[in-house]
Amino acid sequence: MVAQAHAHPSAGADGTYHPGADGEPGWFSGRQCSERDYSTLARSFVCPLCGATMADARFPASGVVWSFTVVRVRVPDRESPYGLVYVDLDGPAGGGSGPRALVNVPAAEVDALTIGDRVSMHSTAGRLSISTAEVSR
Amino acid sequence: MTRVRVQGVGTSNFGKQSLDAVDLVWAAIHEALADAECTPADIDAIFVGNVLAMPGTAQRALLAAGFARPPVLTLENACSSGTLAVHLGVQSVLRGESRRVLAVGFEKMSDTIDGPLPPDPSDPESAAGMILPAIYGMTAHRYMHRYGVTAEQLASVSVKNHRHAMANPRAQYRGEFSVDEVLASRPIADPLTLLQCSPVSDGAAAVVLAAADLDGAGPVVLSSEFESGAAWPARDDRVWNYELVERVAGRAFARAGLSRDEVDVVELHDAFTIGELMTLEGMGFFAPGEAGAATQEGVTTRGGRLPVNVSGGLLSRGHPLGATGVAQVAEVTWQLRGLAGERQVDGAEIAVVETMGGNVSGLSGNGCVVMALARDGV
Repeated sequence: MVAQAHAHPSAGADGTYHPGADGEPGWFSGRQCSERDYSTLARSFVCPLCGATMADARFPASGVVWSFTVVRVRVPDRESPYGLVYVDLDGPAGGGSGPRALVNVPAAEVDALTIGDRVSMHSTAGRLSISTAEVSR
Repeated sequence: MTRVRVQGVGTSNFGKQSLDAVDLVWAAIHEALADAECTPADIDAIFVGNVLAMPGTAQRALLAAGFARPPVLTLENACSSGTLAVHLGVQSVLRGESRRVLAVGFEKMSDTIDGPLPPDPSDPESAAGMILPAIYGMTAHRYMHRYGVTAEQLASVSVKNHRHAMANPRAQYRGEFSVDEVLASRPIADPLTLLQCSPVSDGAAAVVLAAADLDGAGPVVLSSEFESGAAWPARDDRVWNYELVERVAGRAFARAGLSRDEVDVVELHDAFTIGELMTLEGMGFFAPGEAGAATQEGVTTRGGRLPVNVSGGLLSRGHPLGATGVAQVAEVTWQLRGLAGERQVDGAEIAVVETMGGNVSGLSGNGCVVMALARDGV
């Protein structure tokens, strides 16, 4: 086969948080395997578990805290302290499990969290925020 | 069947210092070649581990040390870059491609790095602020929640490794610290404090590996295994890195025909205190959640049942990324030859080295090497 110029490939979504319109819950753009229960917020063309094609998926901005930390050391181009939380997101509407999301939130919000808490994320003034308040789904 | 012997080892001093990469590499190579009683002309290939240097630095340093013509392979695999250089050197001799090779690791960090390694903006989790102390902090909190591991148990790893380094004249930091002092040191990424994080270091290390039927003496490599990470998290509760270290260590012990209780001394990847605990468990030395209490009880202290990081480890010897794995192999070689001076583990016959490299989002690690070595004649 003669190699032709590629169309632009797409690894799809990149884990961005999207605020919901008109008071609807926000969501994360990610990828989901068409065959296996594998999902990710990273760019992904092919499932690393089975080789099937990955497709875009919307994951709810809610889930369970897996772990957390507060970064207090000075990090270039960032303001410390800041909070980081790993949240195992709920599965998408079409079924399957959600990915583990890393969310960067104000340090003070992390102080109120415990591993295993149900949480939801939303954005306030352009900054991601986390709370144990349940979102309506 | 061909076996591979560590014929000679050498290292620089470790720590922030004025020497540049060329000087550091020379210090390590000079000592290793003298130890192996050979010259650059006796070396068939050179494997070099490094993470941060400009392209060509390795070749420039090797030229200064008298190496020209034989193939130089440069390898980057995060913290396990140096161990990967040793591993590939071992494989090259085992496959019969080379009779004698040099593995070198080096890193000059102090002129460009001040604090944690800067996050890579092209990696999504790094871009969200996930520096390396933060992901280890995540693991530490998960361990505390799941197994009841305490802050004091984490700190006891730092106390032990700093105390071990008192007997290592080349270590970056040597000191007697209490658990309280470790916990009261500057917070980095909760729950980890400064004395629980490996430092910014400059250093180099080198080892000469040869077919065991060549003239020479030194420990024999029983097994050397390298694997890369799987998708993480899986649908289980294993912390970051655990799956990879468990898989590679399992292969290394099986290939060597060793059981865990035959091991006399371990050098492993303690870039952060929680890393040592998690790695000891992943390698099968302790059940999950139990390495912290064992550390507090002195099991992993020199003189205990399973001495771990008697060099001071990454926490205290220092962690010049690319040099680290080669320095670990140098340390266990000295231990197996009875040349470790005040930090000698009496009667050490079997040693294991483990190095984990990694920071990529969504993988259980970039890559991990586990290697088992035996004293000559054992």
